[in-house]
Amino acid sequence: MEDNKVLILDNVSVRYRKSNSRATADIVKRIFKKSSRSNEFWALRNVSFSLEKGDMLGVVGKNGAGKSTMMKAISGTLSPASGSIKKEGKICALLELGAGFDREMTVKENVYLRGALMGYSKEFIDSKYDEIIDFADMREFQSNPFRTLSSGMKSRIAFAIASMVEPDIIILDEIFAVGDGDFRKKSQKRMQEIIDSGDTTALMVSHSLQTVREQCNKVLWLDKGRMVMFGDPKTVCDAYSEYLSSGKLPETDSLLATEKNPKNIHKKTKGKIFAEIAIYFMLLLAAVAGCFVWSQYDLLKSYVLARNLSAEQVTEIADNYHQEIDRLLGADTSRWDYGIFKDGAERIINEEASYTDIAKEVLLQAGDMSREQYRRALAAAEIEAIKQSYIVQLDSLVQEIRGEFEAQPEGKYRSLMVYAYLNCDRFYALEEDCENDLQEVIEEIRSVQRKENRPEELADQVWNAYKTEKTYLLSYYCIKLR
Amino acid sequence: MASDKKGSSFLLAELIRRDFIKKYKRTTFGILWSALSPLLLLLTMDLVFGTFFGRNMPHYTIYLFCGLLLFNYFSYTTRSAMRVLYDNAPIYSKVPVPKYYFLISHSTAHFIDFLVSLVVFFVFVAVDGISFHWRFLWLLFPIVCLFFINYGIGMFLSTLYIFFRDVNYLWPVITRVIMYASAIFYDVSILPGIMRRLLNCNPLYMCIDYFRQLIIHSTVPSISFHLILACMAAFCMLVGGFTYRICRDKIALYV
Repeated sequence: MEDNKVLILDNVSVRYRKSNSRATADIVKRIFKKSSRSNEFWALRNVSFSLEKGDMLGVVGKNGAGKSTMMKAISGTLSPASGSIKKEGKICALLELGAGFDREMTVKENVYLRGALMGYSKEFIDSKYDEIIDFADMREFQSNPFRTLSSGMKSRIAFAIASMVEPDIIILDEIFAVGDGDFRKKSQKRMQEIIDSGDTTALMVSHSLQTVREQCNKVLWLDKGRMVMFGDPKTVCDAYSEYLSSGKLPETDSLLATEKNPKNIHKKTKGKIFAEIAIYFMLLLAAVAGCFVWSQYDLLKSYVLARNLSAEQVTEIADNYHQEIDRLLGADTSRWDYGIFKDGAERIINEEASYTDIAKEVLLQAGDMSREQYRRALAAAEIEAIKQSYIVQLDSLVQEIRGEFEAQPEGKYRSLMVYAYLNCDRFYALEEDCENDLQEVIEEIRSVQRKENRPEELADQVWNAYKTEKTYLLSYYCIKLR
Repeated sequence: MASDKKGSSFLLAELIRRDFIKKYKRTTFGILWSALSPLLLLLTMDLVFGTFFGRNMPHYTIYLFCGLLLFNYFSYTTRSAMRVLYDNAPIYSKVPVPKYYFLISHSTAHFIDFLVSLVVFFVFVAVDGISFHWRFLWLLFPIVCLFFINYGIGMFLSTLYIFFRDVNYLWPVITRVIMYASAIFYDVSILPGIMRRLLNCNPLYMCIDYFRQLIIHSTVPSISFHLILACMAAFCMLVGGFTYRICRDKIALYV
């Protein structure tokens, strides 16, 4: 901020839309017109000026010249479409007094609320409350609902609240047009106090050239959003009153410099907005991705866990299949459909679905069980599927291996043995009722070995493995099948 | 202008006070309505649906109450949040104050209202013979999530309302859809598997389900359930914040 300058407006433009209509017919019309510009309306165009500490600016101009819009932009309730406003210190804006109060709340509540909105602290309002009420002369009305007050009273209380502080910049938008004579005098006096008290910069909108000439040391003349003149009161007021009588605008430099359609939002801000949008968008994506990963977390985790099940765990789960699930799921069994295990097993056998598919279905059925519950349920589902698949595959496997034994020439006995060994591990998953079949196969291996005059070690190995390690192979089978 | 922390917290407190007082201003029963309205609704729905669904479900009244309580909180808050930015326009177009303060205060006022209903709910839980457990503290999680969900959606709707008044008619329809998709009065198990799966995409249903699992079945849902719910709340907040951020500067020109 430059020396002494408390307020700098640089090429400020404010744009409204002429029609806010979003009705279908209007939207269609606008598309066919292809002129988005025609809908725009610049309430303020390329206004630049600066004020120093202690200045008193008068703003003149006809109705609709953009005076109030400019004040709103300076106070910060509107943001300009282009240009920048630099301001220093606390701003107190008295715009359309009496508006923005809550009708249903009492005067006292409204005083506190308005005070809070203006950035005062509770202690400050506590200490100033009596002063405010006395200034507005409303002691007897302080617990009335706000809607019962007259508009003059509303303005009085609003002015009283707003003028309790000594702001660095004060904005007065035709506020002295309200209130009775008494109060007007009082408020003008109060204003004068604030302005005289020192460093306050004031901006004042007035239609009374008299007031402007008397009080201001700088005057800004606006016309249709354009800045006609900015300078000392005498020059500007004289030119303005001449304009009022002749109706002809003087061709000033600032007026000529005004563009018809000011350039849209300056680049820096635009880039900033894009950066922010990009960040929001990335966060949004991250949230969606996070949702997805976590919704799949159970599945992924249980998949890993099920792979690493120890032999004991598999046995335990296999043995306690139904009881385990019943117990674990407890009250939630209503959510469960045991059919999914059976169907799943059948579909795996028919190669209609993979274990992953079934696991997903189990998860979705389960909805929200814990990871432990899910893991066990999944393992149980697998075991069920293995049992089912075994029964179907057994016959064909036995036939297959028998055929291999019979068809192989004797010289290839060793490779046959390996083949048998590899294939046999499937049989170890058999339950008791399949033992006979296994013995049969082992006998066959023995007979081949005897014929070859070799030690019967493979058959022994197979049998021992079945007896001692069937559970391990059971899980091995799971992994292989997957 | 309310830049200092103390000033802004005072402003928020004042706004919350205003929103809360305003809600039942000039009613005879005042804040009692926070308790009465869910009770009356519960009574009606229990009479109507209790005979259909309540027969083979233990604690059907609590089951129903969980749904009603959270759904009412959700629908009232979002529906009234829609008008917040519009209604407060006279204030923020005169006094420079961050517009989202009004949204925060609105959500908080409704949240306090919800807490009153929650007390009534727990009275019912006790009457129904469900014993209290320290585990019930977990309920804070869905409550906080729902607060943020409401806040996010409220922010989104309120911003949209400024530019697109049609939401006023659209949102009640969507709310009705959400109501049926929240399994308020029926048992989820009557739905086929795929529908049940879809229900879990509804954050409101997840909150309701959380309540039911914890209070009726006395089980705390899994970690992933928590995470999904938290993500959904974050998602609502992001959508709301995103919309608000983009439109923030334009709002004053449109109201």
